[in-house]
Amino acid sequence: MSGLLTIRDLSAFIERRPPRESRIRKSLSENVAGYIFLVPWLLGILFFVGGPALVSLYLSFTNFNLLSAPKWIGLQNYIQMFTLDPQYIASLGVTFTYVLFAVPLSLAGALVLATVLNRDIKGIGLYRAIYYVPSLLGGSVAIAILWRQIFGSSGLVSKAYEFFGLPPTSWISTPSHALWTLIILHVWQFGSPMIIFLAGLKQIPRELYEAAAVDGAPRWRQFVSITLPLLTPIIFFNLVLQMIYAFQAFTPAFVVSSGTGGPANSTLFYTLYLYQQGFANFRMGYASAMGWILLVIIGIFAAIAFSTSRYWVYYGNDRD
Amino acid sequence: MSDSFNNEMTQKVRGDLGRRGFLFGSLAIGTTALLAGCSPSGNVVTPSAGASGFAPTGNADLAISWWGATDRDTKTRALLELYSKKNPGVKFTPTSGALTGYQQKMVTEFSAGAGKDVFQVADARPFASTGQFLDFDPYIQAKAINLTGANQSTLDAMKYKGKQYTLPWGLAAGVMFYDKKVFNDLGVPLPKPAWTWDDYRQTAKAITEASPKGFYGSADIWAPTGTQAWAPFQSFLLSRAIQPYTDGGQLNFSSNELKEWFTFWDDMRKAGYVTPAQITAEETSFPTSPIVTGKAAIYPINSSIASSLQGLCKNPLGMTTEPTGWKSTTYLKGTQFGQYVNASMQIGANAKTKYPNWVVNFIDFALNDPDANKITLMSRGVPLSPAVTELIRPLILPIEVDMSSVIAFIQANAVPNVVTMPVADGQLATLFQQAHQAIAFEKSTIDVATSSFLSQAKTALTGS
Repeated sequence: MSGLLTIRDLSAFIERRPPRESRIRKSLSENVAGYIFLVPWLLGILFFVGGPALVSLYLSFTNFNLLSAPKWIGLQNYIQMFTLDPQYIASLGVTFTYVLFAVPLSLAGALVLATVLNRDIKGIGLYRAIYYVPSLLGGSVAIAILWRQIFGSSGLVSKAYEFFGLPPTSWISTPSHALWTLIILHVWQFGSPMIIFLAGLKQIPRELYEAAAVDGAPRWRQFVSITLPLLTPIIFFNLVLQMIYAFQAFTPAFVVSSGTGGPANSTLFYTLYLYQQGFANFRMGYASAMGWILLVIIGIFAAIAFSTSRYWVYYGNDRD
Repeated sequence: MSDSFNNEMTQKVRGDLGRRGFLFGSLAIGTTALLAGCSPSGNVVTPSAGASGFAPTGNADLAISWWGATDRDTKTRALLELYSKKNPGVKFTPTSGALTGYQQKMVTEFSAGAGKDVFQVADARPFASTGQFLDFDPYIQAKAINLTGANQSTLDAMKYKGKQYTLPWGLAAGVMFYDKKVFNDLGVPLPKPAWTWDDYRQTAKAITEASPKGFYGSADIWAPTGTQAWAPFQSFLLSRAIQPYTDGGQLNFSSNELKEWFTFWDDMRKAGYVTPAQITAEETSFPTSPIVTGKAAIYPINSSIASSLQGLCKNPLGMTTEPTGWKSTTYLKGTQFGQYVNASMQIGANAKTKYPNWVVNFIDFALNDPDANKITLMSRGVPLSPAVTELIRPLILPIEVDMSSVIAFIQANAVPNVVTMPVADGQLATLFQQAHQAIAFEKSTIDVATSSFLSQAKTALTGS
């Protein structure tokens, strides 16, 4: 594009532009009403997000027990985290495993269901609503308690084991299984990515499928060659969103393990350990440092997703 | 029941504690017996409202919080109602709920300058060390809080750097509950308060061997909602005359004691005398504990939950002390009785309360008033005042009668825990639970778990 821009175009563009000052004034006078309406939110961000975030950055370099003044200790919290704290390393492992499995599985589940629900049959609205319900409930304490029951020693899963002649097993209290109950819980909450996928599916022109059908392409071929490529922007959006969400998972692990992250640290999520350090051990400085490292980790993963997106996300013909 | 219990224990104590210990013990037991024989109302200490200089005046609105199940909740609300009836100027704003998250909420409230006026509290050190709690000493000296008859070493154990910031709102100790029916059906003798770790092992073995598969002699010591392993381990250290901490707040024991402890439990688990890791980890609250779900006959936990636990069990429960190394020749041996009375539920007040005199008056009322204690009974453990304990004895459950006998026994034999626990003690309890779990689930060997615990504990103790 830059190669096509001639000097004449550029000078014409500059001539058309009004002087800078009047431009700013104009844009201000045009948007002043909008800014006034935004004031409550801007103040909210400033005082309830920006301010606390800055304070927590400062606290991350201190020893702060909430009840007495913070003491500056430099990088000690950060150093301790990576050199002297096996629980911290364990919590990283648990969280990465969770994100690695829960996010792709929940996206795949959501996509399959969206495809199934993307057709014109009677009462489809009701089906969509029903499948959306787990998303509304999933983060709640009640569901986490229900989950503990289902996967506990006298729960449904254990009974199913017995039915098939296997020894009854409590997933919740077996370290190798406990995290999986939480991954399944996450996958079960496919509602919101499903709705977004549905919206994406509706955008794909019917003609493409019709043309493919005329050419004799079977359903799976249509899915792979039409649906998937045209849906990649939506997949990308859902991926980034779900990943950030999964890194911050807290409630299910807290309820299922009664806040301990057990058995044997198998459900010690990053945020759960952060909470333990801050509010159970009164180490708010350490917890703040953990929060900032989490921000960096999420930032790195988001950056990886964005930087690789140009190789696999297809935005139509506008780039050709 | 308590008399025969006392006599039997007196014999045991006489044999093992030497003259001085016996005198101390018989004095305490004798006092209890004396009070039991008198008419209760004559001996009960009446609340000391209007003590010199601290008489409450005017109206007050007191914010109060506690945790506990329905039973304690109902009784506490009735207690507040009674106080408001006797003191019409005083209103309460109560907040109650579960223990999970309670301390966390409290810290957050205090850090925001919005702490309650008066509250139940489990771990006072983080607050006391930062000057958040009202110092009761002047009120105690002026008798605005009457502590007549209260066990001094128990009060001392509550102190932070020599000052009384909290008082026991019910005396408790780590104990072992047992299912009487299982013991009787299997013909296994009931455990007695002076039992040793060998006795414990033999008892658990006898029950496991006589029971169908899947039933165990005892729940494991790291029962997640139980006493948890850290407190019993400290008792084991004390039985060897080792204080858990140095005066400077550092660990005062070596990896040897730790390994001995872990090995004992590992052997018990491998032999099938205590519940396997999976069953132990299944416990998320009392209703899922192995003694309630019918998977074990003995359950280690704090005595204060006696009535709640009995309420959850079909079979009658009994209670005895934790075993102690005392007399032991094989396992976890020690030379003295290792336990002491604590209070898992203490009562404290906000240093910044607008109504210190009312708060103190209410605390005195809750600890000493006969009518108040006839309402609350033993919902928080054994009352601090021995006279009050005797007064309510006819009104309590059999398991609570056991509880008061066990507490009296421990008080009579306790070795005082002289060192102030560091603020990070709670953190160490968590690390200790994790070490137990790692071994139980075979995630680490005893050696690895021991060195990992020691290094993390050191970090925690120096870091906070």
